[in-house]
Amino acid sequence: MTSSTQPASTKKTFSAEEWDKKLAEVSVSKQDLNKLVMNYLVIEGYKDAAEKFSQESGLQPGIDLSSIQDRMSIRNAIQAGDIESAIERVNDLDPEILDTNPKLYFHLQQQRLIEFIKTGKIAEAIEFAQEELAPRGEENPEFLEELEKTMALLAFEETTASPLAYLVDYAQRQKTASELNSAILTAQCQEKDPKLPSLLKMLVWAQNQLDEKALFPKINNFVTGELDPVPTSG
Amino acid sequence: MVQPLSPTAVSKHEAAVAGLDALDLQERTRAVRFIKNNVIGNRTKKEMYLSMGVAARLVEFLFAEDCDVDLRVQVAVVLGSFAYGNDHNIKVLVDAGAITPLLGTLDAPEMKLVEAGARALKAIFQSAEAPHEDVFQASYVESLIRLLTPTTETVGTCSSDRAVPVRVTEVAAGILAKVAVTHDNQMQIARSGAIPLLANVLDARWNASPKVQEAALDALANLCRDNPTISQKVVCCQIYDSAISPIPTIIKLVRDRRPVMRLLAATCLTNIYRAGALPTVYHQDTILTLMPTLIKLFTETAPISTLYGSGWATVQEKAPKVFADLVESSEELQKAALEADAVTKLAAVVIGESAATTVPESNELKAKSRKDAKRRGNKAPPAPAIRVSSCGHAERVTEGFLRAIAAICSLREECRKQVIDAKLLPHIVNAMSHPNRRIRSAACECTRSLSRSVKNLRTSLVDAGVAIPLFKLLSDESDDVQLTASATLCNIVLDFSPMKKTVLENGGVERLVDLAKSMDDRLRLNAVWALKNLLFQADSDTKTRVMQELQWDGLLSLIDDAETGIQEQALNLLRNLACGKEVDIEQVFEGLGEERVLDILEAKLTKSASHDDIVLQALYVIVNVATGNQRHKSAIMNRESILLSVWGFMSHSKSSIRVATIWCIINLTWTDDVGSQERVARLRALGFEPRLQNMMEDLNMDVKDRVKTALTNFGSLIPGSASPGSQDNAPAVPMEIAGSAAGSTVGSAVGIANAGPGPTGGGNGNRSRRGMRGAERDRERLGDFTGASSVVFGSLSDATAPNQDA
Repeated sequence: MTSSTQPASTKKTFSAEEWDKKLAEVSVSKQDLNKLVMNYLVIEGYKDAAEKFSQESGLQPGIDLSSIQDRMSIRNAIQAGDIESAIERVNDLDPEILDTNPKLYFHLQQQRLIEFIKTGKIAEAIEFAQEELAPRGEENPEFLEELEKTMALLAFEETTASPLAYLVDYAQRQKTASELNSAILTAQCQEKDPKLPSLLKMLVWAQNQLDEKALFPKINNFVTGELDPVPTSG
Repeated sequence: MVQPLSPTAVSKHEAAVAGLDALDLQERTRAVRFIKNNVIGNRTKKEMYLSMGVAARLVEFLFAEDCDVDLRVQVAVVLGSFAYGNDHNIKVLVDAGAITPLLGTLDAPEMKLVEAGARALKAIFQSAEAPHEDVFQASYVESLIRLLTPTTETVGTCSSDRAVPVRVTEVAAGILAKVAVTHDNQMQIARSGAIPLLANVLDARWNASPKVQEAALDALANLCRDNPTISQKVVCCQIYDSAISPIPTIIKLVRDRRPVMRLLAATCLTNIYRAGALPTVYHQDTILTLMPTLIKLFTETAPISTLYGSGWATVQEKAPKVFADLVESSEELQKAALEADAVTKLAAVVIGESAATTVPESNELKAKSRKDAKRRGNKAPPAPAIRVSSCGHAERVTEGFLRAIAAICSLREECRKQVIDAKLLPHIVNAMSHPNRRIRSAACECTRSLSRSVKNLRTSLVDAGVAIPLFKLLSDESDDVQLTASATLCNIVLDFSPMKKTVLENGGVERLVDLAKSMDDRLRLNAVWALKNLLFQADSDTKTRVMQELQWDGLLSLIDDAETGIQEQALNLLRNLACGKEVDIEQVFEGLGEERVLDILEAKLTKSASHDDIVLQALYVIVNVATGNQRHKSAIMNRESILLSVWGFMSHSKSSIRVATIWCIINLTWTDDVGSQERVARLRALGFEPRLQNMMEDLNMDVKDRVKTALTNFGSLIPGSASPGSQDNAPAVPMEIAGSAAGSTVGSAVGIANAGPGPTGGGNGNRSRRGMRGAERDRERLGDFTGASSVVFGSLSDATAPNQDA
């Protein structure tokens, strides 16, 4: 980071050979690495890859792989704005999810309302809001504010230019999709996020920490994972 | 509240209901699916469809010939979703006969149907009102137990058997957890072999499926609850035939990452511990692990919704109740809890909770009701605004914490001091008038625990104004509340409590007499107990007042009550009535009739001779009557059978009874009294003197000293020379307090030297009993308590701790 502020001579330097040797001393079991990869594939929803990987590594995915497919198609449905079909699928997958998550259910219905408004189906939007959303607001006053904001969309001719534009943005679908995805993972006792990205973050942090004390071959390209040569001191 | 729907909206739902009657199977399935996707997550739609009467129709599909598996699966899912609504929905389903056909699905060859059916059952059994006994018909328990062995994916190849997905095991364990309500339920489930299977899934190989482990812990916890046999079975079973007890595994799960797992593992261990089945080798671990874990969970707001369905609950609600169960009858654990700073943690939540909810909420409510009132033109009273989703939760939290406070200070004075110092008392007193009866009951239990301290009775409880709210609770709509309130009152009306006056002035006697006529044994017992304490060393006015209300016939029927505990208290009441001056004894003789008094005593000493507690009280009635004038003494002397009974009990195995017999003799032979010589002669003729001489070497010092006094009265010992150093023998005044600490502390007997034996009833009178909330088990244990004057002074040394019971 800031080798200029400190005389380089105070830092210990590791040559590429030394570093390789040190790395070789650390034993990481193949099994653990495989588990990390499987964890990533399962949570991120790569069903085919997980299947292949399971065959090649002999590692059990620990979950019914077909549920990954379901989860992905549910996510895709929301991203495509087809909330109704997402709800049907999640109910087929696990009927308890929406019955035990009132907030998630509200957000899905809210997203449906947004989709109606986006496509200019104003009459449907109003009827839907009355039938589906108003009772939710009555049950849980905490939903009222969000509901009011969503309804306010109807007041704008050009929703994308309104202060509430974020609601009609694609990012809102993403947000809803992630919330549902997390709920499904929780119901299946899976982590919400794969472990691999946080390990990478930890790697960056650790390298930065070490930077202040030593010169060593670093990984700067996380795609290839290559060790860059030690910068020559002086 | 169902919102009125627009005509188009209604028509599509009506079409769906009509579709249920379609002949075409696919059309029917489509209709069910439509309903399913409308009701899941949607309370108003659930109620709407149920009010359209679909439940019965759907239940028919479960066993109709012409319905395929897919349709049945959809139907089971819809029924399950209805049950996630509320208790009313569940009742509609039960009335529509849903349970039996759903139980029938458990043996279906198609796992999808089994899963949907089991989920629906689990949702239905969330409700305490659902008829859980239905599960114990036919062989449904066995069907559930067959689902407790999940198939691992590696052995999924053996297709001959039904492969059980682990999530189905989770649901099956969840159902067992809910239906193990009575002792018989527990035993039937255990007999069918559930215990080792439930223990198996606690094994590390199932760590990737924490929910199945949670469900298994929940089931085990409920099976072990108040059940030593099953608790023992759990301790001794082996996980996968490994010769390892599941206890270390459960202790490990108490430290799990998931708060719900920690809570359920802690519940399971607590129940095993309470049942007295936890091997001592694990006790240290239990205290070290369980206590801090539970205390930390006090602030854990993670939901346990999957376990409790729509009745949303959090760990925070349950943790203090488990904590209360753990510490309530163990002094050792109460001390450990105190050292772990539990009182401070409890206080932080209770005080925080009331600051967070009561104040703003009440303002909000006021504002709302003002608005409502305006809208209604001030005609109708404002409806109580209840926030359905969160309100019940906050109240359950408050209740749980109050129960924990009541439990932690039930036995030790220093715990009570901490509770008082934590400034909890004003909150407790407020909670005694809470609209929620469970909160009132819990708050009342706190006052009861605190009232076991003389210091508190004289100071803090008075300052906090406990008496009036407590008094109101005597007429509470809830029996449980009345019960706790009447038990608390037993301590409040003690002689040295300034609140005794408040009770008397506010119609306390009238209310207690009402309760003494209650149909509920426990209420009757508490009421007699309180009246008896009220009469301890009471003045004649108080005695007259009580008897005006109770009436002598009323006392008589209590003396002959079906419950021996009530007989004992009623005799103790009689003993307190007869204590004091001659006029008090005279009143008893007049009120009941001289012959009647003697008949009662005669009957109790013969027919109830095996009930030590009754015998003891009957003997002390004699002791007190024998302090009276010549006529009173003669009445006893003329009943030879009574004298012979006294003679017989002189060799009783209990020293307390031996002491009482000697007091009878001392009072009858007191040399200053008129006619003592004749009485001595008569007793000598009946053979009392040699019997007394035999008791000179009694192992009990108290007995020994009294015997010397008695023999002095007989003239066979020279006064004063009898026992060097025996101080109370020197004045030789019959003012016996039966060695009871309470008696001598209360102490007004001192200085009434000629008044005869004091109301030793005070000794017993002070005793209050520990919690009886709900459980049968407590009542059984209560039967044992004797001479618990010590309770007031906080030691309750003879209260049986659950782990010593087994």
